[in-house]
Amino acid sequence: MTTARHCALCAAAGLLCGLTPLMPVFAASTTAQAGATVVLPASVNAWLGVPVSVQDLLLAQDAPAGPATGGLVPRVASASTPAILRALPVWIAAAVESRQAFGIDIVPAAGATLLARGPAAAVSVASAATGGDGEAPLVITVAFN
Amino acid sequence: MTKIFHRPTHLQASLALSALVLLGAAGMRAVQAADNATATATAVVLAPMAVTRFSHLAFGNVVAGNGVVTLATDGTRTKSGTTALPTGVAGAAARFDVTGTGNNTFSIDYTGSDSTLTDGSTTMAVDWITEALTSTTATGKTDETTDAATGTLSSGAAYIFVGGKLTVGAAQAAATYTGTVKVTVAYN
Repeated sequence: MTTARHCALCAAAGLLCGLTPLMPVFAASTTAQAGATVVLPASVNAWLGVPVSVQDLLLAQDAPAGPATGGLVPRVASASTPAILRALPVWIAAAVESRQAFGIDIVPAAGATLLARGPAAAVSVASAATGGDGEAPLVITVAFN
Repeated sequence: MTKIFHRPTHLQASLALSALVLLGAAGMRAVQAADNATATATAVVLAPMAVTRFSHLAFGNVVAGNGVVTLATDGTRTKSGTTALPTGVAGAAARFDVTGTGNNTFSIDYTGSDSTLTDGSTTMAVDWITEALTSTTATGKTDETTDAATGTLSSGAAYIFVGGKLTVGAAQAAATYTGTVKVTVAYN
């Protein structure tokens, strides 16, 4: 049935017809939803160069984005980062997750990546005083994100 | 009684000859009318095309900041600018599964897809990245300038992958933004 004839029949019958214009009968379509969640950057500026505890970092990871958040801090080029400040985020994340605050040797990393979870795009560096036998506390310093 | 045979005149002979010629021609026409030839008529019945959504598209978490987030057709995320990509929520490309008959080709149309993602009040521009394959493994295409306008069925199956480029603003409001990707397929 042509569209015109279809319309004429619908009009003659007084039908409210939703079939015009007719799509080709051999076509098929469907949709998918696209989504993105925008989060505000975490306020880590105040932490720059200041040692923070594992608990602080845990709170930062779990903190929701909100009005207290601030701007991103420019990334420090890894080549110019002092050795002691070179980040090992995966290691930090693992340390935080396991809450192992003592006795972890520092292995310098060439660069930094984002922490594994949480809305805060924070990257931290860590150091541990060499006390031997895991006696020294783990010190985590937020350097950049 | 004596039978008298008349010798045919010249006119009579001519008429008789003409009649024979006419009869002969009619006979030849009768032979030609019996000739014939055939042509084969065929029709291929195709199963109706169908397309179903296998997975939605997700850019994941994006930190507000000037930049562009690229979601490749294999779900890999990259960014440019000052926006950042926390790794807590992974990205995912949309996949549409197409079914039909044999190894036929088909057209793909994206009319009806949104050009922005919105939270209801603010928006972010999005440009879709598309590719059509006969495999369920996407290639990781990141070029948004050329859409997959045709596809080819392989044993009745094909797959359309959709990623996108999302433009994030410096002061982009924190919220969940959504949009729609629409795919229409038809036999060529």
